[in-house]
Amino acid sequence: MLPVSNGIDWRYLGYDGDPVPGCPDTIEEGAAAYKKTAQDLSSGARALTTMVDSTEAIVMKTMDAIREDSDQVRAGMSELVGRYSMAHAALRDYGPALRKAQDQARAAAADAIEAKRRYSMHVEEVQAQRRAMLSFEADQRIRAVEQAQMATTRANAANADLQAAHDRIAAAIAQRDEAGDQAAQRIETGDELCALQDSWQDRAQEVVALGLANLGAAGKAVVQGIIDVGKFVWEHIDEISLALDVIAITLSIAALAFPPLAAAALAVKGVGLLIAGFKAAQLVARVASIAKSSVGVYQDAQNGEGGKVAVGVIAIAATSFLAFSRVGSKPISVIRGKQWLDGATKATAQQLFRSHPIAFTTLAAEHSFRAQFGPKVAIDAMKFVGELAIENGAEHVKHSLSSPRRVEPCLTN
Amino acid sequence: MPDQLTYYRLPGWASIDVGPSSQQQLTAAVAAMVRDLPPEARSTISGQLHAELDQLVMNLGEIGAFRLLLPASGALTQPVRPVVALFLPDGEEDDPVDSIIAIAASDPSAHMMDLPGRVGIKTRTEHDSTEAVREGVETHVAALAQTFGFEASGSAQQVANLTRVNVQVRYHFGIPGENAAWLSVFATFGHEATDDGRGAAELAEALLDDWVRTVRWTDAE
Repeated sequence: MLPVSNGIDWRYLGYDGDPVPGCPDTIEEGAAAYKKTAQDLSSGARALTTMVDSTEAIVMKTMDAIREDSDQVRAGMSELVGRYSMAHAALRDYGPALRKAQDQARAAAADAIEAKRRYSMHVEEVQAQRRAMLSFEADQRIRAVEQAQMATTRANAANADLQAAHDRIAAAIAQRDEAGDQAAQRIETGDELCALQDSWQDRAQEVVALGLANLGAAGKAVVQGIIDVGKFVWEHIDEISLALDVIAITLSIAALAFPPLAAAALAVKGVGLLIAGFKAAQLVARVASIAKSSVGVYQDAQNGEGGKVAVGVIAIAATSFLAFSRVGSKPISVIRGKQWLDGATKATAQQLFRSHPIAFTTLAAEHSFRAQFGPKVAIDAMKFVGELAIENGAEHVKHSLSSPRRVEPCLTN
Repeated sequence: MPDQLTYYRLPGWASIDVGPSSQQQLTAAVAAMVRDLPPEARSTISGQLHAELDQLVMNLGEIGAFRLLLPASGALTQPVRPVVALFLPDGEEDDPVDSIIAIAASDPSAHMMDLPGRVGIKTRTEHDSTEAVREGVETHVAALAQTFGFEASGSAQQVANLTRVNVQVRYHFGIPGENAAWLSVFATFGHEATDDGRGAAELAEALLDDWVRTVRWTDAE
């Protein structure tokens, strides 16, 4: 507590410092911020709902889980809104209550200081008149007694004013405490209402939601910056894509008029025929199959069957890339159900790696981050994938973050 | 704190450092692109491609990209050719999580990605690029006709029948709390506006989705 605040020396009145400290302006700003937070959280909840509802194309288990739990997520968001709304309401009421208490306390303090000054002055006067009573002159003694009596009366009146001022300060403190208790109770109630689940999805969603909530002027500048940067980037890489497209299509069209270019045209036609095999219905069926497999693998992981999971991930990753090859579905049935790193699986995996290198990089990424697979499986998988990568000439690119323009030597064949 | 970004390079793709060393890598990438073309066309096409890509890659560097990935071997005979640019967010200036918020707030196609241990967001938009492609093809067919001495007017109907859709996919992801461990990936590709074209585009996007999952941040050994 500050001994002197707003020009009032509280120690002079017998307090350690300002008994009603605080800045109502700051509290009211805080209340406004909480209100804004609550409003933005509502917007965030709507944005999240949109995001969650717009993930039909994503087949991953965790997104399925988010979708399944979307009601719970929305409820959690509503609770957050409730918490911030309560905090806003609490501070909204507390700010003015504090301001009123401070005004009352400071006015009473000013009166108390004046009363104390008068009391001291009158007490000194009484003392002076008492000394005058010792005079040898009878008239002076009588006048001193009268003056002392009057000074005593004035001192008593000043003391009464001082006590009344102290009572008003105490009343202001009590009002402040009552308003504070009510605010604290509201905030605690709001906190109790907001018991979000502590899962990583919720945390991620909360990060996004709270970020949305905190989007002030700076955040809006970030949004604009992101949009601007995005426009620049798209303009440039779209041009590169367009340049490649134009050359490729030009070759295929020009070849019709100029036979020496026919080799290129035939190649394009050949790929076109290959792609023609992937009709939309087949693609949908394949994606659905991947989704089912993903759920299965996730469930295996939950059941602690790490060894099967590793194989399952290969199967899924390979499945998703079957469309890029002519391998067919046989390898999937070969490796499904077999133990990790047994001879047949390894041989099949090696074969798949040659035609589906990305499948194994996906596997590596999965294992490096999914702790539930267990460290042993993760290390084995990473090691095996690394060996396969080197054997088959895949390139593991390293990029030093401390020198963004420099390329580190690659792990290659 | 992670100080290295690692990812797997897709077989047959070129990885071009956007910067001083891009020339040599670009030359190699273009050579791989035209390798399967008839010898008569190889040098002409390679010259055109190099001239166009050179300036575009330089421009990309000026807006902060550090690497460009694009299919090289057989690129001109594939139905889709994704072009991928990598950007490192400036973690010192902005909290990368803010960028997720910004993207989520600014793009209705945004949805959260399933990336274990990381937070990420993906956006996808597409637009009709038929006119731009028709215009470019018309110009290039005319140039080839002049070079090889054939009649370009015969190709007019094929050019008129062209349809093209451009797909833009963006991934922004990283590890919350580790500002050095974030990456922005911009990918774009065109495809025919047909069922086959759309099928190829979906496969290309699936490829990009899986490639993103290979990105990791590690400590230098």
